[in-house]
Amino acid sequence: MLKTKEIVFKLYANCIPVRGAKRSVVCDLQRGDYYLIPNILFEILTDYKESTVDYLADIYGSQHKIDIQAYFDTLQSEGYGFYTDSPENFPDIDMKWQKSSLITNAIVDFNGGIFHNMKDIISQLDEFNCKALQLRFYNLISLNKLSNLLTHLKDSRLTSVSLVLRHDNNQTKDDYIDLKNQHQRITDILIHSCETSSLIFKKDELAVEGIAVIKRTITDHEHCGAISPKYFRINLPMFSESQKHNTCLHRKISIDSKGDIRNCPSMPESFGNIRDTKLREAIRQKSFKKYWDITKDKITVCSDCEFRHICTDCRAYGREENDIYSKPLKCGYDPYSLQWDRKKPNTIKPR
Amino acid sequence: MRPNFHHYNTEMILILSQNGLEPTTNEVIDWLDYFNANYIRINGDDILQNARYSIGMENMIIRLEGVDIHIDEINAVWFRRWTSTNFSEYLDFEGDSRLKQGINEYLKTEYQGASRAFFSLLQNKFWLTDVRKSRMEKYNVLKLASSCGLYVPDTLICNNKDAIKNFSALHNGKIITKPISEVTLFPIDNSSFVPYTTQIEVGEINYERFHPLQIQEAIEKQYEIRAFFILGNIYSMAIFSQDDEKTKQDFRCYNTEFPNRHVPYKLPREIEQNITSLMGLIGLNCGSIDLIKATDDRYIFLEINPVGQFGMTSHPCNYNLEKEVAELLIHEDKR
Ligand code: SF4
Ligand code: SF4
Repeated sequence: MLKTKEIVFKLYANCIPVRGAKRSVVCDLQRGDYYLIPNILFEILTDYKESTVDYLADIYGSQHKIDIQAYFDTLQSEGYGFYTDSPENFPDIDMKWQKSSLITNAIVDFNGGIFHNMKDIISQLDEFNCKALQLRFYNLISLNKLSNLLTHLKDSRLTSVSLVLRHDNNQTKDDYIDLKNQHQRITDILIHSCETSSLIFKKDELAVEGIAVIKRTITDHEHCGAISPKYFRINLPMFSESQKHNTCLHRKISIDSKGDIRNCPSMPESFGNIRDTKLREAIRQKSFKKYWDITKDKITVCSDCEFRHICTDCRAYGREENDIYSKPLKCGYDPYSLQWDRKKPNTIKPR
Repeated sequence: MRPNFHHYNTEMILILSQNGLEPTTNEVIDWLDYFNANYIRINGDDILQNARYSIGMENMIIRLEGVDIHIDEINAVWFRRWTSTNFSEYLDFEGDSRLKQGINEYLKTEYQGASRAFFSLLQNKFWLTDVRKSRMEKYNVLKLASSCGLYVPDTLICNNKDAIKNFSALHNGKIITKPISEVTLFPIDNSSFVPYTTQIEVGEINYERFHPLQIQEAIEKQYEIRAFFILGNIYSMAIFSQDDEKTKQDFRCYNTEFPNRHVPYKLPREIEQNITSLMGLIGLNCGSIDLIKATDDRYIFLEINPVGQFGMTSHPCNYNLEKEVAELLIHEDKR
């Protein structure tokens, strides 16, 4: 006899529930947002995945049937899931993370004095098939000089470049926009030290161009490592990488303002100086990859946090000195009380 | 197997592609680099503009940026695309526009002849997508698909209103029209135009006779399916677009605010077997297949695209097809 097929609710495979201590989120990896849900719904969506509402009513009590149905209807109308009679046709996304780049992203810091040979650095990064580069300038650099430096990108395999620049009072809004348009690979620019500049009033016009303006002066690498929902990265590459790897330091390489090669400029360990060490040699050293596979699941507090697969990690600034598994210092979130504590990041001391 | 002495390089993957936006090709190349494979990429446009080459009766040498490629070195060929060159812009001179057009047509035919000669020298190599099978006659493919047990939309090619009227009556007035041939974008200024699937109302047709067009029964869909076939393996993805009026007819009308959902899909075994026999019948070892899951639960075959950008299936489903293609080419190259 033909069995009539039952209708069940299913989340789209790219809307993935993650459980926290007190609540859960559905991470929408396609639209890049998240949706808070109670832990009971997490349980329904995972432990009792693909169950009919009737079956769930048996489990949770028939008085909850309406609520369960309402949960599903809301998720459906918000676009996170659908009803189907053939859930077996909709497999989960395989979370294996695979990239053809031995190094996927790099940071190079500049602070006057030493001026790195970008041509050489870029060609070394090309050997890794590195795709993303961040250049951070704590001191002034003329846009002319910067533009010259960026011409080395032209034939490189890098696909995106992000800039942190100190504002030069001689530069106007259009100068920055021109710079960005001239170099196709620039994805975003952060301009700091705008305290006394009128540039700050053009904030909104610049924001649409992917250029952010802040009053504060960024003096060195210690500004890095802030954690906030606005830095969440909600997408499949990030989510899948977070399953087995660290979401900041995995396949990252950096050159600090003195030329020292590090996993990130804020890390204590140096693996030689760019003047006499090849990047290739640096990453071959045993402890270079020390932090690469520290997942959020291994980190205190983060392991209980519902945001752990969309939140970039920070291992340079931790809560506890000498504990490489401690929670990022500059995160004010407490997954047990669900509160964000917005203490100024610069009042807290690095590891 | 790679010989353990170094004398002459006998492993080479040849990638036939075109200039311009080829993200899928670039990603496969990244993986070939990762695995240290030997490959060479030739764009049809290069053959026209940059490379020096000679095709004799026995051998062929292509010199590209100072590197000679000998035919015997190549074991595996990956055919992506060949040329994006617009011939009418290629030859430009002052003079009669009809003459210009005629000469351009002639040059184009000659170029295609030269390309075919080049391909035929490679005919004994392993091809991922045989170039000779890459030109699809859509109507014929529908007939073949049907013979392999797949449902296909009822289809009519006609040039007159009466025929459409009768056909429409058969399908309760629910009919659409879509291009018979391969869809080509035509760029005008900064935008490009692409003919896409549209619904038609018989009552709105003002002419008795017109240019030939293709009519199909409209199929109410639950979702669309794109299946990537590669050497017997099938990787499918469902595209939910039905609940959005804007994208109801064709998902190429992108809607960015509420994007269509792209999720992994597993076709029933029987459908996968039908697809496999169809690909065998056509002689294709790789390609993207478009299907619809109809509201009546049937799987309806629409078409095959032999050289599609499979990134659009690979990325959202995390299938890593670019890596798989690279590994497969390396494997075939070393045989
Ligand atoms: S580990 Fe922390 S300081 Fe280092 S790059 Fe990552 S976020 Fe910044
Ligand atoms: S607790 Fe951990 S995972 Fe949660 S937001 Fe803070 S740093 Fe991110």
